[in-house]
Parts: sequence; structure tokens; C-alpha cells
Amino acid sequence: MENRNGKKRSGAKSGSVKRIPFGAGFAVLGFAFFAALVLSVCAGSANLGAGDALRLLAAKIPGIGGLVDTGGISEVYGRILFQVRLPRVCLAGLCGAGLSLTGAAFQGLFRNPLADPHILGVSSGAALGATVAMLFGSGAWFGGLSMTGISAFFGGLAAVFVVYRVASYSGTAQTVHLLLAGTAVSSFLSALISFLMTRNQDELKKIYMWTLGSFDTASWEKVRFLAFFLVLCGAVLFAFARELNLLATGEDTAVTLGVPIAATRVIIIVAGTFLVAACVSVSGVIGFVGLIVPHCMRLVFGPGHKRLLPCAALCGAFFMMFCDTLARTVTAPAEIPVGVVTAMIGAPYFIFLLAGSKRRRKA
Amino acid sequence: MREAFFCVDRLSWEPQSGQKPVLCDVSFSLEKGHFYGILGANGSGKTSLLRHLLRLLPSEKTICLGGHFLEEYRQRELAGLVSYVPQTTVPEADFSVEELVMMGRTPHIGRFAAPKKEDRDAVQQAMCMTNCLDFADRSILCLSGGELQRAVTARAIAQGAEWIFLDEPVSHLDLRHQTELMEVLMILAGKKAATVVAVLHDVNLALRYCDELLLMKEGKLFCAGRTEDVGNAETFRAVYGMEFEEALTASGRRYLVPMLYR
Repeated sequence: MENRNGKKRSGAKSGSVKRIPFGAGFAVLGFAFFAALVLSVCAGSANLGAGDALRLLAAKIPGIGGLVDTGGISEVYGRILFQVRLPRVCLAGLCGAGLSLTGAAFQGLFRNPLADPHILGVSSGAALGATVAMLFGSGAWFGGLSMTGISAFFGGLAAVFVVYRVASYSGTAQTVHLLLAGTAVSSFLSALISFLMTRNQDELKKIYMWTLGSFDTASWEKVRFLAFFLVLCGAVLFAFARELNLLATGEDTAVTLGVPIAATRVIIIVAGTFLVAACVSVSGVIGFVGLIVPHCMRLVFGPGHKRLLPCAALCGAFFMMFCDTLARTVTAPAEIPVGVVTAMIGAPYFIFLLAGSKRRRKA
Repeated sequence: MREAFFCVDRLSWEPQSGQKPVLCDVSFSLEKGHFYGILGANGSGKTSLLRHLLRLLPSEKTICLGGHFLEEYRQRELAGLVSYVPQTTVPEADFSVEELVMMGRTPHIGRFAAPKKEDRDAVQQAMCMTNCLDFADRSILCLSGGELQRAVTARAIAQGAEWIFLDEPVSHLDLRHQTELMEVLMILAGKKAATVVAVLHDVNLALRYCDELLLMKEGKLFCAGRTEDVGNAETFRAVYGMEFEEALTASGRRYLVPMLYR
């Protein structure tokens, strides 16, 4: 609504809504996304320059690919780029987009600023699924996905299903019941994981590292798996942007404006849960991104979900690629868990944004 | 029964089975183009009745609108016919007043469509009627209680529904804004643009602006009728269980002074 034209308004009064124009803001995000992509692909122990990386990438583009000269670049670099770095960068980007998108949708749906993608217990369920697979499963792989990942995916879905059933035990599932049931089920599942970990001391480190999240097992199969869910669930969530806006002024109001609340809630929860379960199953539990990125985007672009959801997805992708690159390069050859990096960078920046917005509101 | 009016037939409701019913055998019908006031003591079932009429509570085929049970409508269809101003609105997102009022147009705009000129016109007109234009681009988080209530009322008007239901719309407003809002509602009903149904606490506002009254007592409809017929000290005495002294102002209006003892 920034480009309202020709209306006489009595100056900039206090409390008036000021927002960055959507087009410009989205362009900046897009540029940051592309920069992070190139930076992430170039960074690493093998010394692959940005120019070489770009030429290798351009050569893969159908049509103009043949015009690009990749003669001087070693074949090893090509393999590093396409088999190691690019899938990892893509997976990080998709995962960041999925978590941020779902976080934004859940914050809107539950009308709770503390809501994040994991609030309905999907990550605890996934972690338990992964733990069980690591302890008792074989190392089998199915179509490029590990047993651990598949077990985590279904564990996450099952946990949210249980949470929903518990919350709707007395009639329809109310928002507050869902949040409480999510917290209760999460605690129970976490306790089970802790129990399993203490009974199996040898696997303790492996399980713990999984729960912190990492992209070091990225593959094109995982990228395809996650991209499928991001496109599908993302489209569903975006289609419900309008309903999420209406919920911001209360559930009764949303109903009287034409939102069938129970069905809408189920659709958003199902779409969000499949997306987050897919994210968690390929990367482990990465916190913070899904909580903070939507808030940052809301401060910048306003609360309208038609803009918020795509911006959150793009910013989440950019942020996760950036954090993962730091995670694998700063202490190379050792890796820092990516969840640690997201919180260490994201939290101070968010506090900075929050302080700035308070000041503007007062002025 | 094809006429477009609300018809409530023996509506009873208990929040949980076995508990004391909140509504008990309530029957009445509402005709178009009036300004109805629902009055009664706290806990007499006014708000519950309103929530049933809005289908926010299940009415189990006791309420008809235009010859169809409320259950038969899709939520969006109903939103095109009935709008709602809640008692309080807790704003949680940084929308501007204009964006808030535009939400009222939701039932008329496609899922992926942008607002059309008629939608923008309806929004401007509603904001003009409720005196919201001065703060149209303010954040709804920075409004006073009265400004927010006017913005929410503008949203209900912009919705373009034939029926507007309001739950104590003026409780948070100062005298001037109370009067202004009641005038707006009276004009809407007077032009037959909408039928207004408002839960009110102030008997004198009801006498002044409503042309029909529904008086609730202990979950039952105590009486209903034209304001000049039922709006007198005797009825209110029975409804509220307290004394009222009837007075005539210099211009000949009736005024009721509530008092505990005569």
C-alpha cells in the first residue's frame, strides 16, 4: 500500500505506517541471495575462484552454456563444485526457506510471536525418529535418503499428528490447546531421546550432533526431495496468505470475514508440518532461523503475508546459506554446527532491528 | 420463507451439557431495514445470542436467514451477508487503518486478486462515514480505543453486508464518539442500506436510536417490539430488577434515570 497516489495526507504523523517499497526490498533480498550463493560456492578449502565458479555454472545453462570457455579449469574443480558444494549450498538454501516460510505462517496462524516451525513438536518427533534409526536401524539407504532421514521425516509427522489429536480431545482444536499440547508432547519426546542417549553412551555424540543440525551429508537426491516439499507446501501456504492476515485481528473476526477457521488451521498445519519434517529429515534440527527471519521481515515489509511469506523464504535461504558457509569454513577442517552460527549471528542482528523499530515508533 | 430475514425458532444453548442453559427457548424474527437494540443485564444471554446469529456458536438448525438454515451457508457466503463488530479487538499486527478496513472487502475479492476500484471506494466511503480518514495510514497498534473501534466499525460497513451485528459498540467511546457512531448506524438502517443489530448497555442510547428492542432476561427473551411500545420504565424495571424514573426533556424526548431505590 506504499504507492497510494494523490491523496492529501496531513504530513507524517506519529504512528503512521512506513514501509520499505516491496519491489526495491525484494530486489535487495534477491541480490543478497545471489551473492550468498556465489560466495558459498566459492568458499572452501579447495581454492576455487569466483570467476571460475561462475564460468563452470554458466556452462551448465542450456543455450548459452556452449559459449562459455571452461578450458583452463581443472576437472577436479568441476567435481567439487557440482558434487560437493552446490548440493550443500542448495540444500541449505531450501532448508532456510522452508523453515522461515513455515515460521512466518505459524506465527500468523497461532497469533503468537514465539511460535516457530518446531512449536507443534515436529522436531522432537523427528529427533526421536532419527535416534531410533541410529540406534536400532541398519545403515540402509532408500533412493538417496538415509534410514535416519526417513525415520526422522515420519517421526516428525507422527508427533504433530499426536499433538493435533491431543489438542482436539475436547471438541475442536483451539490455538492455545495446540500450543500447550505441542510443548507437552515435545518435552515427553525429548525425555525419551535423553533416556535413549544415556543408555547408549557410544552413540551419544552422533545423536547430539544430529540434533544440532548440519548439511555435511548433502546430496542432489536430498535437494530434490526437499525442493519437492518446498514448492508444494510453499504454494499451499502462500495461497492462504489472506487468511493469515485476517487472523491477525482475532479468530472470531476472521470467521465473520469468511474464513472457515477449522479447515484453514488444518491445511496450514499439514502444509507446514510436511515442509518442516522434510527440512529436519535432511539437516537435523536447526533452530532460530524459523523464529527470527519472519520477525525481521515483518519489521521491514510489514505484516501482510502476501509479501511476508515470499520475503521470509528468500531471506531464510540467503541467511542459511551464509551461516552454513561460515559453519564449514571458519574453523576448517572442523565444522561448527550450523544451528550455533544461525543463533550467534541472527540474535544480535534481530535485537538491533527491534531496537531500531521501537525508536521509529516513538519518533 | 424466501424473504431475507433472520428467523430464530426456539433456540436453546447450554455451554456444556448438564450445565445451566445460557439461552432458553428464544424465538423471534428480525426484519430488514431496522435498528435493533438487544438489552438486558449482564449474563442474560445477549452476547451468546449475537454469537449464535453470527454462527460463531452452533445453532443446530434453529436459525434461518433468507429461508436457509445458517448451517447451509458457506463461510464466505455468510460473510457477504452478515458483518460483525466485536466488543474488543486486540490488534496484534502492524497493519494500517486502511489495510484493516480493506480486510472487510475480503468476501468480495478473489483469493489472488488485487482490490478493484469499487473495493477502494467502499473502503474510503466507510472510513469517511466513521471519521477514520484522518488516521487512515496510522498503524492500528497506535490507535486509542475509540479510534480502533471506529476503524473496526468501518471495516464492518465496508464489508457491504445487509446485516451488521455489533457487540457493545460504544462501551469504549467517549460521549461524542458514542453519539457519532450511533448516528452512523441509524443512517445505515434508515437508508435501508443495512439492518443493524447492536447489543447495548445504555437504555437512553437505545431509546434514542433504536426503532426495535429485544429485551433479554435470564436467558429468555423477555419481550420484543417497537421502541415506543416496549421502551418504558415499567419494562426496564422488570428486565433489570431496579427502578427507573421516566422524565421528558424540554424537546419532548423520553429519558430514563436508573436508580436502585425510589
